[in-house]
Amino acid sequence: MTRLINTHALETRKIDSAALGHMAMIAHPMAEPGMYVGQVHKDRAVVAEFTLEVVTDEGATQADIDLGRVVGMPGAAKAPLRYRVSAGGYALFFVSQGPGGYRVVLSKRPERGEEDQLKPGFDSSALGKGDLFVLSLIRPGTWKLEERSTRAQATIAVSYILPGKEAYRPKEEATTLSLSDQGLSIEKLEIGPGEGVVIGVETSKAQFSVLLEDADDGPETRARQTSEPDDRTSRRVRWNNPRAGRP
Amino acid sequence: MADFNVAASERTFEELFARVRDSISPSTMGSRDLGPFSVQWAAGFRLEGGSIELQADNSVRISELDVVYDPLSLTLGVDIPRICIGGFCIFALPFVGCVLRAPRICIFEADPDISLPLNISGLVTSEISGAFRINTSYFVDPGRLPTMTDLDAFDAGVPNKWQFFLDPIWLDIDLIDTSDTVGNILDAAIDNVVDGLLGFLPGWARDLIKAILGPIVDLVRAVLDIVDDLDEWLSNLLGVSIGLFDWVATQVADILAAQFPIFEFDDPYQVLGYSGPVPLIPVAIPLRDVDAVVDDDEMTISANVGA
Repeated sequence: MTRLINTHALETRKIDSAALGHMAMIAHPMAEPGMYVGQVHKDRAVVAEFTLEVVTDEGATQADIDLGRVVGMPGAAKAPLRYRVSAGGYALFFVSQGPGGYRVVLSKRPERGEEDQLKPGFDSSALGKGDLFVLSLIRPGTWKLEERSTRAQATIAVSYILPGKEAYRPKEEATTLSLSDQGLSIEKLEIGPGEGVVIGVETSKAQFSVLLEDADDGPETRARQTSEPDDRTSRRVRWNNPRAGRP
Repeated sequence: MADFNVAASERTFEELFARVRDSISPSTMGSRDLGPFSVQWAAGFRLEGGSIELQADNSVRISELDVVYDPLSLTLGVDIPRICIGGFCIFALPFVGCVLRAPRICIFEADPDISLPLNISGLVTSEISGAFRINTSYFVDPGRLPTMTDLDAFDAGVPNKWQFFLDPIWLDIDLIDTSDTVGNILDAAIDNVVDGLLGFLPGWARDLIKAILGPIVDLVRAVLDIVDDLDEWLSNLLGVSIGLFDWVATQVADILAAQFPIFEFDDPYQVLGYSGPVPLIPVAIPLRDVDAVVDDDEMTISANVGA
């Protein structure tokens, strides 16, 4: 019996855009054509590289860059994975395997006649205008979304789905929010497991954290939790030290 | 006119047949890949009931002989689909549609395959009917040494025999009944196996995966291609895919025709045994031209005294 299951995805309780893991994605618009070098950092060390070619001709509108795969590829350092996207499209960073916790830095490779130095560009630890931070939460419960620079906050309630007669299918349309200097456009939202939440960044140096504040373990556990206190009876017995108060 | 004639009535013939019938219990096992699923089986059967009719055309008709499958264990191997999330639209443009879509990320990283053990022993029955001729055969016991006399062979329990077998003219086999219980066993097996597969997960993840899969029983039934009629599906699986009914018919035919005689007697045939105060050797007469014929009243065995 094959039982390969992505336990990292199921155990995710904390998400950080600066240390990308499961259940979150970052989309960065690639406006300028050229060759980009991507560096994947973990714990302040570069653990893998990839290249992204942004071309002018019409082609793929998105490059799906699975950082788990980039890091996990044997010999990735010697032969970096290559991606390609049309100018105006998006580089979409996500993690489908492994523990995650990656930061991505994209730099443009100099063209002829330019200084022979990589030009630093996108850094996933500081999202800028036009970037999209995307969540796809599956753990039922209440999650707290916070953006550090603006201190904007929102709560996301992920509903508990019980098996039913019909197969559960998450909604095709994601819920869209925006982050501006005034904060998040929606402060409270409810979604089903696996449904998308897209946060359009309209500020600079944005950094998101998402934390599971209150896990929902289902109707049976809820019923047990609420009934337990009623069933308890206080049986406090005080012991008095017989020597207390004696000289 | 033969020297000897022995007749057995239809009632006696039924008794003779019952003894043979109750001795039959073959078994088999095997496996087969059927594309969307695989099946392994261990099967055996015994025979019960059945009615005998001696026919005027020198044949015996056996009707409604129940084939009780015991054991009958099937193990169905089924792939359940990947469980993936994502794929929603992140960014859409008016008139263009979705230009940025979330990748699908699978919680199960490979198609999980599950094994469904189904013990349906005694829950499926078939019926066999057929017409038979009596085939007379001479049996030389392989345990008899060439140097043995008939008396030595008799004393050693390895005498030659005249045997009478039911040689099939035709056989019909019908799957007549699959109990409703088979459906219930299948459904329970699916639930148990999926719970076992997901058992190590926290409750919320188990519920979510089962919710995404939908009613798992329906899903597995669809993979197994069980549309409405479980009887038809099972009949097809046992009869066509496994070839169980052919095997049963072949076994019944082979066993009745060559392995278990309906009646037999020693040759030479003992007419006077060891008896009296003086130990005399038994009196036995060799029989030749042995034949058995059937009419609608009885089976008659005839023989001549041989040299």
